[in-house]
Amino acid sequence: MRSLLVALAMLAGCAGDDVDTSDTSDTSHETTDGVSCDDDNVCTVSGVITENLTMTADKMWLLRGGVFIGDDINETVLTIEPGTTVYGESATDGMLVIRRGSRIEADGTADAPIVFTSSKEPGTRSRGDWGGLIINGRATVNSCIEEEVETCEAYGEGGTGWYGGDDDADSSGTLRYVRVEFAGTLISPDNELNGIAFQGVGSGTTVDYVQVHMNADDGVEFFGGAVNAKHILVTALGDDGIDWTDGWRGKLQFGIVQQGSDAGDNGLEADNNAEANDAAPMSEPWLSNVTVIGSPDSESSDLGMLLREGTGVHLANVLVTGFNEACLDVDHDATFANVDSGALELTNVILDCATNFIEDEGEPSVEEGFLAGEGNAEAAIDLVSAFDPIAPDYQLEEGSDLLTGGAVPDDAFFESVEFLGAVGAEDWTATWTTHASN
Amino acid sequence: MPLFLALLQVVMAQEAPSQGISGQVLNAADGQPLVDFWVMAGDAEARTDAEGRFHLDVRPGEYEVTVFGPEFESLTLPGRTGQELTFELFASEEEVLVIEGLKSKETTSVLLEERQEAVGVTDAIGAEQIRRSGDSNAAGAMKRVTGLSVVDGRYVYVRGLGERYSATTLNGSTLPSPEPERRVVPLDLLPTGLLSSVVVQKTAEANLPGEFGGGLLSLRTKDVPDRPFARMTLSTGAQWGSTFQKSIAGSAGPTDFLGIDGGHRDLPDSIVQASADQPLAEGDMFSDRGYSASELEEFGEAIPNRWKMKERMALPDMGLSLALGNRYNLGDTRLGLIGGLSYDTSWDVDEVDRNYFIVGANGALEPSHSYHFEESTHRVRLGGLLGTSLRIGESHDLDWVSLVARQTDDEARIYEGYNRDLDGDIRVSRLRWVERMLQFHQLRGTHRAGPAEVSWRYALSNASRGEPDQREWRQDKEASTGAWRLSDRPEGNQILYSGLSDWNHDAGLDVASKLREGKVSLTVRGGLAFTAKNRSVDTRRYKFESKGSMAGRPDVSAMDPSEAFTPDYIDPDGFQLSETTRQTDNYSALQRIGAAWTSFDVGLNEKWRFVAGARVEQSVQQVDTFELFNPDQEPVVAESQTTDFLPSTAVTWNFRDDMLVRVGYARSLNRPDFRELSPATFNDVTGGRETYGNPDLERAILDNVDLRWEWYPSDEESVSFGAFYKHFQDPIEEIVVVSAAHSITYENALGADNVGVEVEFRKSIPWVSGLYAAGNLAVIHSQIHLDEGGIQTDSDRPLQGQSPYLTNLEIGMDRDRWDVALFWNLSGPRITEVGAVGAPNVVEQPVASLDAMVGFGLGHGLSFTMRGKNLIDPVHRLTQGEETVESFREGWGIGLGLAWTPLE
Repeated sequence: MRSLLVALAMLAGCAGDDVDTSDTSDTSHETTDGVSCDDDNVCTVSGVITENLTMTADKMWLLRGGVFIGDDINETVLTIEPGTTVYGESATDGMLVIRRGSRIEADGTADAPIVFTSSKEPGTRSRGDWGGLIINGRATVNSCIEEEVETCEAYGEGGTGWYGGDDDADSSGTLRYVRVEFAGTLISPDNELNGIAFQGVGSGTTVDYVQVHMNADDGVEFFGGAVNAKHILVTALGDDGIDWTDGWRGKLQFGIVQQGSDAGDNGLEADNNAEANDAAPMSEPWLSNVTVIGSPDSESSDLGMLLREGTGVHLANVLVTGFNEACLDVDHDATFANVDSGALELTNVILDCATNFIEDEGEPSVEEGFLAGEGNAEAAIDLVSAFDPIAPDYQLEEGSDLLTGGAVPDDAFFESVEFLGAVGAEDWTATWTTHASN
Repeated sequence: MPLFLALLQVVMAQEAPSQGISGQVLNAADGQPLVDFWVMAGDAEARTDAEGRFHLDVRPGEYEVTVFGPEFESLTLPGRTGQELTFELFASEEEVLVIEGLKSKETTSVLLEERQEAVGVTDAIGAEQIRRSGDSNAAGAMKRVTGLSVVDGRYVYVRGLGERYSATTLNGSTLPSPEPERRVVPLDLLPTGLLSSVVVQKTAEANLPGEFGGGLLSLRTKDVPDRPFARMTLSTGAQWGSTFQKSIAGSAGPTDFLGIDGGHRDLPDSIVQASADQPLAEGDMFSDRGYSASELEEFGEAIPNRWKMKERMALPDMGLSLALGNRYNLGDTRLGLIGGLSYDTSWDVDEVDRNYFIVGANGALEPSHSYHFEESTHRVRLGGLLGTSLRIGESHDLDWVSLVARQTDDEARIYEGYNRDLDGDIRVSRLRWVERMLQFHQLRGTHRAGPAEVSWRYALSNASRGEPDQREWRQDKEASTGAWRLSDRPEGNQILYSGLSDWNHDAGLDVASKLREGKVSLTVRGGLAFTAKNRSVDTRRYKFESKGSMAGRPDVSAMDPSEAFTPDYIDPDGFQLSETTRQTDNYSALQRIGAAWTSFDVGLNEKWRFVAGARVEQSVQQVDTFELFNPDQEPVVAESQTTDFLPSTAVTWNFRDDMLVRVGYARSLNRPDFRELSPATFNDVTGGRETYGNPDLERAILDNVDLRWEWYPSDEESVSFGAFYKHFQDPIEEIVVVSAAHSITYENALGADNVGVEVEFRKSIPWVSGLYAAGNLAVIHSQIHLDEGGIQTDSDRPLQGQSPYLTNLEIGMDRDRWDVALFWNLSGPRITEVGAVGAPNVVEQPVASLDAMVGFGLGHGLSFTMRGKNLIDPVHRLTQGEETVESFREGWGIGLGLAWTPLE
């Protein structure tokens, strides 16, 4: 009988916390829909925001848990003033999701960049302190089986919501002079938050001068879509630098990946669709003027560029150096098929690793394919200070052969430059970037 | 044993009082009265009192009156109402086991009788059959029943419908589940030694819970005996490929052999206190909570070093059970008592290769990952039962039963092999300890007055699951050096604590009254039922994060975790303990169901029986998924409230004494599970894909039609042929969502149909004494029509887990001193995993099993059994298109058992 009584007592205990969810005490001063600011100028943002919101530089903005801009239908605009710092709360894995139909207008300046960072004290920060920035758009993705689904929509990693649609020219707003640091909480296997995830984002979006630093997972990942980007700096990551999958067809010029000495997997990781290699629309972006820097002294730092799972890509004026496993690997039959069709072409790509190629049994020779491309070479890359984790200089040394000879794709998006790699005479990474390790 | 026939008719009978037959039963040797002997005539029964006297309530007329009891020859005399009869019995020469299970629900014949009497279509398996087939838990026993298959060794699929469509009751009361993502009780939790029978009700009826899909598994605990009773069993077994194999294991605690952790795996107190109301993490700029790096180092160093994958030898399986019971007469009050204990332990060592495929160039399947799994499980089950029954006069029965069943799996697993994403080898090791427990306390009563009968029940039960201190770590193989390096990926360096508790109150009141008897009889029944369920799930995750440069040092990352996670390297510059509890790990849920029902039961000339009834059921379900440390964040709440009207009707035509046809129609429903309703994304703590629920889910409505012809050539024989059709409106199905990780969600599918035929027989073979054959076959066709919401390859396919055919065959011989039987089971191909983005479904190919048993009576209440399990040991093959995903043999086994029944 005693056990019965104990059971009943426990039951009474349980019954108490049944339904009651209403008691959330409110000590804040100003409160609007999901935003509350206190006397110390800290504004906490949480939940779903469906009214336009401006984050001003005079306040500290704290993202508590998942913060979702918009309701996936109507437009909500999040405007962030230059010089504003937004903190992702570490204890609740704060993250910011821009939903479809809504926009982020984060338009900083070289002197007053917009910074998304960890809520921890500077000096104690580390990778994965908070979630990251996720932008969901209405451009096409290939995650569905093409014949059966008219408009393909997909559900983002880590509960980041739906993305994809039928408008490749869709706009999700502006990211200019923006830094995202110490983000990338690992949620579960296959559920990693990237520094910035562009999920089905359209070409109407402006992305220029963006740095992702000390992210636990990939720096920038494109899930389908057609968004274009310029001046992208990705530093000291836990995983891959720039990653794409599920049908990205955008353009990118002036991109740098620099791995840290303690972590990092591949510089570029490029997939079409890892479950169905022929899925359409196929990943086939255009990239020009990219510098990919490994960390020769570290245990990780595997591959400079891994092209696989059926991706296509047009890569021009690229420098790859310092990777331990190899500079270039191409995997899977569907990817090699794109070499023959012309959807995968490399021109003016220079490789400088101890081993430049990974050759797998039963697959065509990567080296032969590479050397067949115009201007491709295995040669020394003479950057001023490529491997310095604190004060790198990505510029080419004076008099370098690589300062000329490049040819950008014939498209108005691409600035016509002659140099190979991401940085020419002018160092666009000056002033607004960081290399702080904690 | 012709006695049975007459006896069994008695068991079910209930008769109005009349003049009757009286008499006395005496021992022919010494003239002493024989107490508590059975007497029967027509369909009346009685027991002799302390003077050996009896009275039978029968209608006026002439009867054959039969008397029997233990250790005496039975005797039948002609008698007339009003007559006084005296029986003198002689002691029996033979050791007859006639009486055991006479009134108990354990024997085949009683269950067959019950099936014949039932309103709807039922099938059953009793303890007698289970004992013979040697299935030690309820799940194993269920695969012998027509149209049932058992998935993962624990969930029962009735008529090809997934476990969500099979509800379980124990003595008529609903049960909670210890599984966080499910509602049903895994049946392997219940030792068969504590059960008397399982009846599978395949037709919904007004008096049964409205949530009814393929069937209701109605379990009954062991009956309170009618006389002193004692039974002890000992068993042992060995399995090829497991027993005496060296395999992997974690470090053991002192009480592990009982399946009780006993605190060995508890989180250190300092960490419990530190993380009681905040996560174990460094503080930030905006709060005064959190810990410093040196405090976190201390917490990390307090974590016991249980990271070593050790070696252990699997021992033979062992089992022990004890059951005792008695009955006491106190005037006209009879008190019965029963107690049972059961303990068993088993070992399982498996090694299997599993291949994964993706759709590569030109639509061809291409290998992706390929892992070798090594898995070792030591399972301990403990069960206890205590029951009393009180019969006051002839009108009042009270029963109380308490049952506790627990099952503990001590599991170690390593999988190692090629990972396509990494383009290299990984090794993931895991140690886990899972305790599942069900407690069940029930009080029930029946009261009779004239033609009316009132019965009621109340049960309080709790299901719990505890998984303390799961450890998981991943190592990646460095291609150049071959070194295995600790990986900081999400499955790396993890420590998980997870607990679930589900409390269930279940109360019911049923009233029946026989308003009219004779050529046209009428019985009206009605009742009320109420169920309240409260569940809470509490999970904490921690990991050793590679925080600083020391963790990445080549010599450190190549260490075994038991060397790396030591004070030397747990450091702000090395590994740091941090909390990784997810936002959706914790939830509480409740369900309330209230129901009222009534039914009318009309008999015509004892040939026809018409039953029509209806049930109204109201249900409220709510799930709150909350973030432990974000109190401002409103929990993700999902709610569902429905009221349903569920009519049912059945017609039985007894066109011959031993033959009948029945037809039934019923409407039933299927509600979403708690987690299926909640939009919060979660990963099953038991592993598996990321899943999120759908708050817009509707409950599904099922229309069920059954038809069955049944023939009972004798009391232990039966033949039946049946057909069924079910139409599902808005069935709840899992779909694969378009996403990088192929998440799972649920939707109401457009519809589904399930149609099938079932054949079953149990027949003695006349020309050899004791020889019998039994078998069943179910052929089921199911088709689900999915909306185009997902990326599953097939939108029209059989339900997942459903075999198109299931069959059982049993041949045996039953002699006085020995018996022997062969059991064969075959299930058709079934989908184990739904394919997505053009990849075919993963299908488990048909597999057969053959078991055998021989039993001997050794005298003095001793009996000995020998079993052969899985004798043909077939290859299990899982295929995807043309490719083999997995192929393995389970291994054959032998078992020895000794039973001692000093009293029965």
